[in-house]
Formats: sequence, C-alpha cells, structure tokens
Amino acid sequence: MAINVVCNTTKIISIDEFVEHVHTQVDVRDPDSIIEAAPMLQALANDRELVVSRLNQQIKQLFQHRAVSSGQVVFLAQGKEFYVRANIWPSSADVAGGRIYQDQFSYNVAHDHNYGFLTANYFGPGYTTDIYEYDNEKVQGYVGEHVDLRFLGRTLFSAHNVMYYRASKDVHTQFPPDDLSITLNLMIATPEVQLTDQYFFDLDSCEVIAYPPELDGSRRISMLKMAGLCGNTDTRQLLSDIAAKHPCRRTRLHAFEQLATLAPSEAGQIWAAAAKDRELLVSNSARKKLAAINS
Amino acid sequence: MTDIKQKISDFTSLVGRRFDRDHMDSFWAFEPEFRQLVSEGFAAEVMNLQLGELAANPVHLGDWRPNQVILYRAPAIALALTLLEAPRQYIHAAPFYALYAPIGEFPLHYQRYRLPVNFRNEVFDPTMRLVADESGIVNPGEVLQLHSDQYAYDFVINQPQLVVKLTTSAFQTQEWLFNRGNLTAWQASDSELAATQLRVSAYTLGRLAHISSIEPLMAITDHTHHTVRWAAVQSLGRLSRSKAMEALEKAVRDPHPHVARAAAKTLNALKQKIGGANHDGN
Repeated sequence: MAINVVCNTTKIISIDEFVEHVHTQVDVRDPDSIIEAAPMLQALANDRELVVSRLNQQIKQLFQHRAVSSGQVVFLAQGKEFYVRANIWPSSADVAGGRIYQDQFSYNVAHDHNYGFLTANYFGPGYTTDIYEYDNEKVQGYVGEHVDLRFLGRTLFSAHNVMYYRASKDVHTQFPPDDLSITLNLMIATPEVQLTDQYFFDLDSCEVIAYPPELDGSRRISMLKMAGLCGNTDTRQLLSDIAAKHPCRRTRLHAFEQLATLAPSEAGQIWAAAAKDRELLVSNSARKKLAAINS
Repeated sequence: MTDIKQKISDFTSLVGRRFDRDHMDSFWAFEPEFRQLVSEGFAAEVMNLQLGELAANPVHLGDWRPNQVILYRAPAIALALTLLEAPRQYIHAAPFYALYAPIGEFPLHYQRYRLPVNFRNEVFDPTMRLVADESGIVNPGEVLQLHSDQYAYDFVINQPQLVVKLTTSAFQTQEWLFNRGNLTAWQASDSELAATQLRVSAYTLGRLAHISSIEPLMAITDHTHHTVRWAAVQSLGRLSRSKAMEALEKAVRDPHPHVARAAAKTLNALKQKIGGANHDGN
C-alpha cells in the first residue's frame, strides 16, 4: 500500500536545499529512492515560514505570475522531472462557509494517480484517507470497466507523517480534515506520466467511472474531438499518424474515432486497422464498431 | 512561422495595439477583422497545427483545456476555439465582452436574457431574476456580439458546436449563475482566478498567523474584488488587533454594502469586547 514513513526529524532545510537533494540524491523513476527522501521532505516541512513567505510574495505580486490554475495549490519549486508544491485542504466548514471552493481536490471520490508522489503534513490536523490498491496491468481503461480494488486501510495523515503514493497502484478517497490543513508534495513529473491515464472509481460497483478532465490525456482527447468536427484532408493524415503511433492508447482510440468521423465512408477500414492495435482498449472498441457497421 | 500562426499573431497584435481597456466599447470595433480571421478554413488550420505538434512530439501539450484550445492569451484579450457540447446547468452571466463565431455547417442558436433592473454585478442578490429577451440564430460566417454588461446568453446545443471566441478580460468582479427554471440568481463566483487565489491565500495566511503577512494583507484591503478585501480584513483579525481595527475602520466605508455591514458589526463587537475587558480590568 501507500508507504507511510514516520519522520520525527527536527532538522530544517530550505526549498533550495530540498531541490538540490532531489537533483543529486533521488532517482525519480525509483520509488525506493523517492521514499528515502522522506526525512528531507519532513525537514522542509519543518520550515514554518516556507508557505507563509511564498504566499506573502504571491499576494504582493497579485498572482500575476500564474504557475498553477487553482486557488488551492501553492507552487514552490521546479526541478528536472519533478516539482514541489503545497496543497491547501479546506475543512467541510471552510467549503460550506464559501471561504474555499472545493475545486482542485475531490473529496469523497476514489481515484488513483498516474504519478508517484511523496507528501508530508505541513499544517493542521490533516485529512483522512481510505486506501485501496489495484493492478493497473489488468485494466484496459474504459469507463464502466470492473476493477478489483483491495481495501488496505484508513489513515489520518497527521503531523510527522510522510507518505508515498504509488503511481497507478494506490487508489484513495480523501475526506475533508477537521480544520484547514496543508500538505507539501514532491511531485514526480517524468514524460511517461503524460502518457498514462488516471481514473475515478465507484467503490460500490468497483468500476472506472471517469477520467479527470484536466489530465494530459483528457486534454489531448478533447483537442482531437474538436479536430474531428472541423478537419480537412490534412487533418485526416495527421489523425492517421497519431492513431498509428501515439504511445497513449486512449489517444490512439480517439484518433481513430475522429478519423472515422471525418471519413464516414471509410469507417470500416479505419476500425479494421484499429482492431489490430496492441491494446485491448483500442482493439475491443474497434471490434464493437465493426460489428455495428456490419450489423 | 506558419501562415496560421502569422494570421493569429497579426490579429492579436492589432487588437493589442488598438483595444483600449479604459473604453471597453472599443472592443466591438474588431468584429470585421475577427470575422475575416475566422473565415473559411481557420479552424481546420488551427487544429492541424495542434495535431502536427502532437504527431511530432507525443508528450506535447498545447494550451488545451477541456473542450477548449486557447490560441492566444494576454491580460486584455483571449482567443480560443471552444466546443459547446452540452447545455450548461445554469445560465451564466459572463463577466467579459465576447465575439462568438460558429464554425461548421450548423448555426448557433441562442437565447438572450436581460439582466435585472438595479443589477449590480459585485453585490450578489438571490432575489434578482433574469428577463427573457430575444432568441436568435448566428450562421457560420456571422459573428455574435455578447454584450455581457446588459445581457446573459444561453446557447441551445442540438449537436456539438465549435465556436471561435474572442473575449476581453473580466470587467466585472463576479460571474453570476441563474436557475434555468425560474431565472433567479443562484450563485456568484470570482470572475478571475487571481481573485480566488488572493482570497484563499489571505484566508490561509490568517490561519498560519505569521507577523510577516500583515503588510501584504493590508495591501489587498484595497483590492478591486470585495471578496479579497474582506478575506484580508478577516485574516488581519488573527494577526494584529491594531491592524485589524485599522482595516475594519476603513472597511466600514467600503463601497460594497455586505463588506461595510459585516465590518460595522465586527467592529462594534470588538469595541464591546475591548470595553468589557477594560471594564473588567478596572
């Protein structure tokens, strides 16, 4: 399950020192190496002026240098294939009182992450989270697909806890903290992350119910959908290239879909090609389309 | 630079040079150039540019949002290709001016509502009600002007509809949502992300209660968004009694009636508390 590391260090380091540590000591593709950075993230969390000074600075600049598109994320530092941020977790009372909208982080919705991240409690009582795990290798990735979710336990993410969430393995549902809380996150941002899906799950039916709309893959697919509504012959060639070669299976599927939209008379050939795709998400969808065409 | 990039650059440069934000109505003068920009083939060229970049680099991520490809973004204006896919749950009163050009073979159907008499964007009032005005059709090749200072627009979506949008920055502080059924106001939210970020940050800084936040919080007690001003005043109350009193004395004269009323109430309560404490002490 998500790895919980209790860190009682009293050491304090700066954000620059933390970034330098990750650059020089952490292999961002190796979970064990990331977990070894837990005491350093806790040492960063021991800097009680870190978030204050960043928020003071951003208020002075009236948030004109827009690094994030949420009111609940405080961007702290960018590194090579990682970044560091603080997340603000409103309590139920904060949300009900309109002080903070519940925008960026969905409470009460089970989801995985397509990236690994190390997180430390920085301020407040911390949120409670139910943690599950699943086997991503067995998931085709379509909405409505049944997924075996295994409940691993409930955790209060309180002070001196540093947790590592495993990419595309851990699923969790977060519940609002009793009072405003802040976490610090070391976010892994390798290029592979941009090609991997993330899911929302229904815990009763154990099904994939949606993809986060702000996910890179979802944004690509939204763009493809728009291309399918206005494209020309050049568009068809580009979609064909993407359908054949893009490493993201959902992107390939939607490229085929838009290709068939733009060239309905060739839909049979397009879906026949898609049926040969190496991923079941694409090939199974293509076979259904072919069956519908031939029925 | 590709032709389409050059066309967009020429157009946005023109708007950037001539649009006078102090005279918002100068925005409407760009309709002919906008109409020319989005003429035949524009959307396909734009999308081919995006697709070409994705085909060349699988992890390329343009300025793509859910159902939106943003082509240009500057403090004064934004240009985007947008997909209207389904009716919105509420009728939105946009906080900006806009020009909408439908793309494709289908016209854009809309219903226009007049904003209520005595409507003040910054003062939310749930009793306010829209008044049905006109319904209209904008054919491909035509442009709809969204006069959002007077009207709210609702689009009838019978099939997915692509629209090229040229929008100004928000000139109102709030975006109102109205119920479809009875046309009454349901909610208003910050019209700009920066205002939300300031408001949430101010609240968070109050909770973190560090003395270094007094100066930045005092600075935003003059912000144009009343929600930001009030969040700053409230958080000062957690940091410094004297600065909170100073901010409250000012907020009592705030142009926003909700802020002025809340400030007066808080100030009175504080004075009574201080007076009571002094009395007890004596």
